[in-house]
Amino acid sequence: MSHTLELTWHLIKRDFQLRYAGSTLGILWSLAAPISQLLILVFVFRRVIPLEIEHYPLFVFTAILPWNWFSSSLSASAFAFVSSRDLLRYPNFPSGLIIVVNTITNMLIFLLGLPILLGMALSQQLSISWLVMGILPLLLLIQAVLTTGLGLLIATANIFYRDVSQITHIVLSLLFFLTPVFYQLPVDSAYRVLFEINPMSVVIQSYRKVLLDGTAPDWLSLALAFTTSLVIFLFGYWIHQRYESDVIDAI
Amino acid sequence: MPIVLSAQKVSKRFLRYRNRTTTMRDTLTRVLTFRANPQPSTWALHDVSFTVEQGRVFGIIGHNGAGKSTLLRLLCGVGRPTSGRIMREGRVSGVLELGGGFNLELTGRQNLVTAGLLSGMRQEVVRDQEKSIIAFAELEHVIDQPIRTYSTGMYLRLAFAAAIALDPAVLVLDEVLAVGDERFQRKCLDRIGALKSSGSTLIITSHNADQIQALCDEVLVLEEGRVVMQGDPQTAVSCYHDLMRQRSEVRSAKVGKDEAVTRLTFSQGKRLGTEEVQITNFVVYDNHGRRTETVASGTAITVEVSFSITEPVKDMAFTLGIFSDTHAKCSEVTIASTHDLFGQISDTGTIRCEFGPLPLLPGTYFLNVGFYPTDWSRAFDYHWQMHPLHLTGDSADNRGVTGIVVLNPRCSMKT
Repeated sequence: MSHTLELTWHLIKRDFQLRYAGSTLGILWSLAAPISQLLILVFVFRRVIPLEIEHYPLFVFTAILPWNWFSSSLSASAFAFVSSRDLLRYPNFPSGLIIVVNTITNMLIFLLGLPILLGMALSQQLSISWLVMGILPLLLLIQAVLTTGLGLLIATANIFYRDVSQITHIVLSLLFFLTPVFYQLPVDSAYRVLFEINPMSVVIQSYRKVLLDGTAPDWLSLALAFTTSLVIFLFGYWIHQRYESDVIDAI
Repeated sequence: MPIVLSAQKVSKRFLRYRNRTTTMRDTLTRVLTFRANPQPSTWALHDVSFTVEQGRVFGIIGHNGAGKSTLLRLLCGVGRPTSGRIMREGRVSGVLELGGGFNLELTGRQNLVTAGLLSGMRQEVVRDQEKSIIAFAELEHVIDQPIRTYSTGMYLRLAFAAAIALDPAVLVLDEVLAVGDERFQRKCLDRIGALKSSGSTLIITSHNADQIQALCDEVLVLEEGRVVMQGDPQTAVSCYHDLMRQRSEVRSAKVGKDEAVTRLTFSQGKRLGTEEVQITNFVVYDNHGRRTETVASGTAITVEVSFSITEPVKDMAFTLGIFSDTHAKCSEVTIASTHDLFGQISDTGTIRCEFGPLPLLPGTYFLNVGFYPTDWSRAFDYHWQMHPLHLTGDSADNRGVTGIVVLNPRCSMKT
C-alpha cells in the first residue's frame, strides 16, 4: 500500500517536472493563468459592464481556482494516456493511476492559489471561519471524485474516438458560461434546475459560501452533487476497466 | 527444474486503430443502421503454447511481424491475451522496445527512479541501486541530461542496466543485444551469464540467428503468429533459415505469376493457381506400400496425386519434381498432355508415379506437384514445398560426402 503511495507521489512530482522543466518561473506559471483571468474578468465586469457584486475580485477568484482545476484536468486527460506511453509499457501498470495523478496535480495547483485567495480575503477585512474551513476537504473530495470520473471517461474514449478531445474543449468552454464563475446566480430563476444538476456549479457556490460568507453550504444540493459525481466516477471507472487492455494495445 | 513461465494457447487479436482511427461517425452510422460491428482486426498470435524452465536461456526467433514483440509484451504483463493463459512465477522484467519505458523529456536519473518504482521497488532501494546502475551503464556524465539527448546505444545501456538491477526471476530482452557497441555487448553477455548461473531465466529475441544459437538452450520459432517449433537451437535456427528462404521464394513466385497470369484467383502461402483443376490428395508410399513422409535413402517410393476438375478442362499438363531443401531441382517428371498419354480425362482421378530407388543423400526434400493448361500459360494448382520427403540413412555410409546425389565413388590412391 505504501509503495502505491510512493509511486503516486513520485508520478505527481514527475508530472510537475514535465510541466515546468526548463522554464524560468517554474511552478509559478501555474498561478499565471488564474491571475490573468482574474484581472481581465475584474476589468470587464467592474469597468465595462459593471456587475453589482460585493468584493468582486474575491468573488471571481474563489470560482476561477476550482474551475481551472476542473477544466485543465479534463483537457489534459484527453491525451493523458498518449503522453504517458512510457508508463504504460511497464508490466501491470494500472493506467487509471495516470488520471488520478492528473487530478491530484491540478488540485495541488489549486491549493497553491489558496494562500493568495486567503490573503485577498484578509486584506478586505473578511474573517475566515475556521469551523467552516473544515468543510473545505469535503468540497475537494467531491470535486476530485467528479474530475477523476470524467477524466477516466474522456481519456478512455479518446483512445478510440479522437473526436472526444474536440468535444471536451467545446463543452468545457460552454460550461464555463453555464457555471456561475463570474456572475451571481439569481435567487429565483426559471433556469435554476440547470445549475442544480451541474455538480461544478454546486461545488463552486459551496466554495463561495464557505470561503467568502463563512456559512455552511446548501447541504441538499451538495448531497445531490456528491451523488452525481459518484455515479459519474463509477461509470468512468467501469468503462476504463472494461477497455483498459485495449487502451494498452492501441497506444 | 521448475517451470517459471508458461503460455497456454495464447492468442492475441489487435483491432486496427493504427491504420485508421475510428471516428464517432463510423460508430454512429453502425448503430443507427443496425449493422453488425465489423471491427477490422488482425491476429498477431494464434494458439501459442510453450513452457520455460527455470535457469534456461530461451530464444524466440521469427521474421519481422511474426509476433515476437507482441508475445514478449504479453509475457511481461503489458496487455492481456485475447484468449489463453500466461503463467508467471516471480517477477518478470524486461527491456521491451526501443523508445518505450523512458520519457524523453526527463533526465536519465528521473527515469531510473520511475522505472525502479514501477517495477515494484521501494524508494530507498531505488536510491541505493541508482549509483551502481549508472556505473554499469557508464553514463555518469549524462545522467542528469534529458533522455532525448541520448544516442540509441546510451538509451539501451540505461534500459539494460535498469532491467538487470531489479534482479528479476525472468528477464526479457527484445532485440537488445543487436544494438550497442561490441564492448558493451560483451559486458551484457557476461552479466547474462552471471544471471543465468544465479538461477535467473532469460528470454531473448534477436534477428541475429548466430547469437541465438550461441546463447540459448532452447529456441521457439514463430511464423505468422504461430509456433512452428520449439527445440534445440541448431534445429530451430535451420528451421528459421528455411522459413526465410521460403518466404522470399513465395514472394518472387507470386510476383512472377502475377505478371504472367491474369486469372490468379488464389495464392495462399505455398499454393498457387486458378483452381480449374485442384489437387485433392497427395500420398507418398514407401517400398512396402506404407504411407509415409520418411523413407530410407536409396529405396523406392510411389507417389499418388489425386485431382478433381471443377471447370470443363479438356487437357492438362502435369509436373512432379523432387527438390532439395536448398531448392535444387533433383528430378522433375513432366507430362505435357495427360490426354495424349492417358486418353480422355474424367472429372476426378489419380496419377500414380512409381520411382525406382532414389539415389539421393539423406536429408529433407520436397515433392512439388502441379497441374497446368497445356499452353503453360498459368497454373491450375501448384503445390510448392507443401509435401516434404525425409530421406534417412546411415551417415557412416556417406561420410565425407555432401551434395544431393549418391554416386558411391570408389577412391584409391596410387603411389
